[in-house]
Amino acid sequence: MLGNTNIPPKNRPEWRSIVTGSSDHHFDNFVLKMKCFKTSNQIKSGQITIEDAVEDLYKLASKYSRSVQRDFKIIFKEW
Amino acid sequence: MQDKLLTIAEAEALIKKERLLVIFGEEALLTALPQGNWIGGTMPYFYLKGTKGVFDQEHVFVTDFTDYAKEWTVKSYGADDIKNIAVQGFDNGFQFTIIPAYQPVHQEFAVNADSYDKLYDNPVIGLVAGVSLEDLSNGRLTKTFNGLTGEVFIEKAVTLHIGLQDHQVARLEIVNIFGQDHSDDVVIEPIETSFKQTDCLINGEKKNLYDYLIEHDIDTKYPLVCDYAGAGINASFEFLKADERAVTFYAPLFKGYKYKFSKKAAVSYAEAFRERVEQLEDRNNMIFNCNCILNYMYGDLENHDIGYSGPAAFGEIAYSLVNQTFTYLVIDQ
Repeated sequence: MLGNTNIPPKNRPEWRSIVTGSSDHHFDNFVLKMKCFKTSNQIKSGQITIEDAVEDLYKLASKYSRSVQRDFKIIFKEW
Repeated sequence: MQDKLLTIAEAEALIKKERLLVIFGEEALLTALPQGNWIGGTMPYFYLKGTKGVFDQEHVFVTDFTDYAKEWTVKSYGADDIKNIAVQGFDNGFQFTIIPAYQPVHQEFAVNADSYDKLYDNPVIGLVAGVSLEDLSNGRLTKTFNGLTGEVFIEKAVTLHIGLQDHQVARLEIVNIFGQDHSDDVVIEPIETSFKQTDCLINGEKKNLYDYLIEHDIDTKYPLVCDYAGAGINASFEFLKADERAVTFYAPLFKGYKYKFSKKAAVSYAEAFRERVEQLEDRNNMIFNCNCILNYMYGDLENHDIGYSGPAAFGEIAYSLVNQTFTYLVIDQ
């Protein structure tokens, strides 16, 4: 697993925009798209909190942090 | 040696070398193979790099995962326990599964996979097994094989769980050339989650989907597409049933999801596919890929080379069941 510097901090507000589906940018990575779609539906239906959704997505994004760098730079610019 | 059509003797030699294999082919060929480190499924359609696609009942298509597997195990799953498919895998790896067509396990996975525990932790890739389309119309069943035990299944999915080295990560991606058509405003929302649809909400109004397709002369070679946070997920048309005024699909349509018709391609499938693939930075690192039998048929892959080799699936597994989609697995170092 790569270190935390490869992934924007969990407390950045952009994570909340991503999991709620309000971000304009979609990941290139397929599984992150699938996960975002699921979490935004779960948040809408009250099955999961935004905080838990961010936790889940952050964990998955950490796994794929190397291939998601381009997306991170577009969404988070710098961290 | 990966992703090639082999003779039975060549496949047998690999099995005897204790290679870890996934094998697709005619039932009689798979049945004749010795026990060993392999799983398999019936399938006679293949697209091949550097040549035309083939309908082949004399060779088997072999993918060799030996060099990637730090550890592995084979499990079979029925409709009652396929929900455990991701939980049973290794902490870091992927699951390769072959599901028999039109069986309860196929239905269960297609409808409920998204709710399975740990589904997205590691890739779940694979396909729905097939037989010749002529045999299928005559009621012939697809089969799955656990080469380790010699078991042959009609109703169970067989899954190869592979664990990778710590410095490796498996990544599943797709190539779907069928984007949503935004030139019209038609939005289809199913009232129930099902492979079979009758009344749906079409632009918010309850209408019969079969009637709508007939009235508007919709080309059903093109799938419906739902936007999953930027991923186009297809549901392909199977039959228009006039007697029931119903439409069946090769994947379920989900209640509450919004589907649109897909854009009509200006070029052939092979050409559109090549344009898309050329943009992929990881196109040379695929360790497995598969495409859909419908792309094989409608895209005329029997006469076109898309630059890759694989089985033409009766449904592709990319965490969940997808249609008319090229799926592939990459190992990132």
